[in-house]
Amino acid sequence: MIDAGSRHQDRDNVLEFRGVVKTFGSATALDRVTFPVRRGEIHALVGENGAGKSTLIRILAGDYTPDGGCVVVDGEAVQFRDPGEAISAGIGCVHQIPMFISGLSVTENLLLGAPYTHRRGGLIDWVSEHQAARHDLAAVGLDLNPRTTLGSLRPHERQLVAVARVLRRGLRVLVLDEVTASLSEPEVEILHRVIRSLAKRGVAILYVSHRLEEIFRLADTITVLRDGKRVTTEPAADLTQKDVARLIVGQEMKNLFKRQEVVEPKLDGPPRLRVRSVGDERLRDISFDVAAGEVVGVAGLGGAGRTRLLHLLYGVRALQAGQMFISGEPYRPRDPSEALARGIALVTEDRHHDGFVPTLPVWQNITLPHVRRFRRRGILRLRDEYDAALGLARRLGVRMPSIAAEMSQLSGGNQQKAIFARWISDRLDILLLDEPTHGVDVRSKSEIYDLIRELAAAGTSIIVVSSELEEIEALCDRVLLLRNAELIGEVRGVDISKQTILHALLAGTNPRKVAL
Amino acid sequence: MSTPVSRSDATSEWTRKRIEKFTARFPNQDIGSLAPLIFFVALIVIFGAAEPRVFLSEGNLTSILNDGAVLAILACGLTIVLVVGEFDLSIAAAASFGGALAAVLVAQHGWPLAPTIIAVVLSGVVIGVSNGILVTRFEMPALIATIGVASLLDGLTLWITGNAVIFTNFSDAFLISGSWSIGHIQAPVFYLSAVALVLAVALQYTTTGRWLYATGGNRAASRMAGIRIDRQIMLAFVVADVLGALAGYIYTARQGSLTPQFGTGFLLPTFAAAFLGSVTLSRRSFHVVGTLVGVYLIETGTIGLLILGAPAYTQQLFAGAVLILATMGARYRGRDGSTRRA
Repeated sequence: MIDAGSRHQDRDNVLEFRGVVKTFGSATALDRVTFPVRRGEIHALVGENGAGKSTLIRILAGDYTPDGGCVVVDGEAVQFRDPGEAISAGIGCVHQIPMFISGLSVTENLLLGAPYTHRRGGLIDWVSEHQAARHDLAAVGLDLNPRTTLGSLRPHERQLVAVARVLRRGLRVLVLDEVTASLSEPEVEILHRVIRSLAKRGVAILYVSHRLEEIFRLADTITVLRDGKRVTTEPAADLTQKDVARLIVGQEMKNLFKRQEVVEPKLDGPPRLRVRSVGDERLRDISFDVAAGEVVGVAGLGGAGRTRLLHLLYGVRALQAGQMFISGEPYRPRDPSEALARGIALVTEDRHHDGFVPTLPVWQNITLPHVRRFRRRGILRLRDEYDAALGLARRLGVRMPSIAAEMSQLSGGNQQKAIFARWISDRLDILLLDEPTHGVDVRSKSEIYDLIRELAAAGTSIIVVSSELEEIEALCDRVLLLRNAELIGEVRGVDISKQTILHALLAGTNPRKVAL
Repeated sequence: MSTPVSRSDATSEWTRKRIEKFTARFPNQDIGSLAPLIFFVALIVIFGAAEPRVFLSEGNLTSILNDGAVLAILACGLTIVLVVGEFDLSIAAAASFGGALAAVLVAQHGWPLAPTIIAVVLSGVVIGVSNGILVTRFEMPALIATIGVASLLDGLTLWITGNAVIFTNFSDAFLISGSWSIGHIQAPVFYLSAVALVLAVALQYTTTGRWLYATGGNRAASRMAGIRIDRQIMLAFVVADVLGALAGYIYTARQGSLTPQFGTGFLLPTFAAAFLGSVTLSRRSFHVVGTLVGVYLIETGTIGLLILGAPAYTQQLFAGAVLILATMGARYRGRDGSTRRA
């Protein structure tokens, strides 16, 4: 173990946190956090939401001033007053959703906030600027025309442009905050390659992520924060994923990993959901069945049409071909309200966009689809509604300042649990989940997994779309493989593994043709 | 009480949270929500001190109440559209049209009261449905759609009235329907009370009200939760424009004369009142009580300035300043809300 508190100055330490303290009112966000980051090292920073990762990064970036301790860069204590100063000192940050102007060209986005240095007669020399941009993009392994608009790039290309943007200023420390959260597996791998090559060139990488499996593929050293305190800083080689999950939460987490037992679904009567030759502008000829109580995963690379498929099932988009049946009865929803009426619900991928209503308090968000139930002679019984929401939130262990709080006051994991709380009171027939643990901390993730299994055990059929193949491994009885808007096959039971799925998706081969 | 323990637990929890929620409105950093009320009181004190005999007379205070009522009915209608996250710039034109239609039908065609009122309500429904269809089906920005509809309505108003003031031949029933009173308090105030009460209860205590707020808060999320958002938007426009047309009827009946396009002058104060209301007292949203405070704050300021002998243009200065300050207040509170999470 590295003795992080040692006095002796390690020449390799490009960055050191020394006893950093930050309080917000009476809450301590960081409590004497000390650890070094070495030149050329990929240093993972992990912890639950609220453990203090973001606060630490914001101190480093100059957004916050620490109440105690200091940040040491190249042996000198520094205090940045704003992000500009951090950047000039060679510290660059890339966040989950980089700030871009999607209508502008890649070059213009690379130069956001920076001066245009190539001039001709006082005017911007665009030819040279684009050339310089092409050069910058090459440094992160991107070969694309810098004149293209940023909006037309794929998600991982945007993240790489964001890296290129901070790279161009003599970078020494690169902070990557959840940069892979919305990327699919091969895109993650591309990003990782670039990160490794930057580290080889001596850049210290501070890598924040909830995805443990990814951290173990990438990181040299892991620092775990819990409740604002540093729990450990150790070489990744000395730790296992289970160790880290335990250190993050402070207790054993068993259910996050691949299940050993496999339950074959009971197949009596018509399947709960039957989908036959379904299609729209993009999806072609999709057919599959889902049994009662079965958990079916949908795996696919970004852009394969996974979300679109869920939207067809939920009536968000109109079906243009094919038929669907619920328990043998024809089903053709034109609106989500019709899907709900048939016992189908969807938990969406991006809760901020279409998950919750920020202007309503937590309790009204929980009861949102069911307000009608609290109506007596036309008037809402607010107290009954409030009690019901409170009961559901407690059952799911939603941690919140108050159930009358705003959704924005909850952490991502607790927001997600509050949204799940909508659907546990009914006997839903089918629950559709789109990236159910996107941006959710380990503890909440584990609780959500338990919940999904509980619902399935009670007979709800569940369809899960997830970019995290570990999630699919941990949850699913069967996995549908979606590639370029077509189902290319399925994997079931003990055959479900990351390797099989990835191989099939990349090669486009059917591990086993869907038998219908 | 079959389950006294759990019930009283939940009850006390509920009561406690209500109290917390109430007191949470008044920590020192949230003074913004009280500012309009403080300003309101300050206005009354200032005008009262300057001209106690005139301003504080019973006659003046009730005339503020009476004169503000039509504006308040309009502003209540607009509030519903704002709750659902849309705009209605045609609501004042709906008032002009409703008034003109009533005047023409009663004075020139001799219609009795009941069919006239039905016609006015129907015209409001048609205006609201038109706005709603343009915004939902054709996905037009409400700003553009309602400006277009407003212009159409103003044209129609000029057409049916021949751009002439109508002030004779009104039936007694029509005139009485706008000017009966109890004590000093006139008919429009009673109409307003009914409208405000129904809307306030509907917004807070019915499923429709919840759906309207949810749709205004996050349309995509509301749709995913099974709310028919197009219906909510349609409903909001219909309610607003029916109230707009009725406000025009009430105004005309109370005045006993019709000046074509009288509604235009109501547009700015209607918006100012609703926006001022949205930063008054409670959460950062539009609500009926806030709108009423907004209306009467503006009305008090306007009449107060008149009594002090300020020139007519100061009234516009006042309304404009209130609108801008109210919106700044909304921004200040918005920032409060976002920094609360650390």
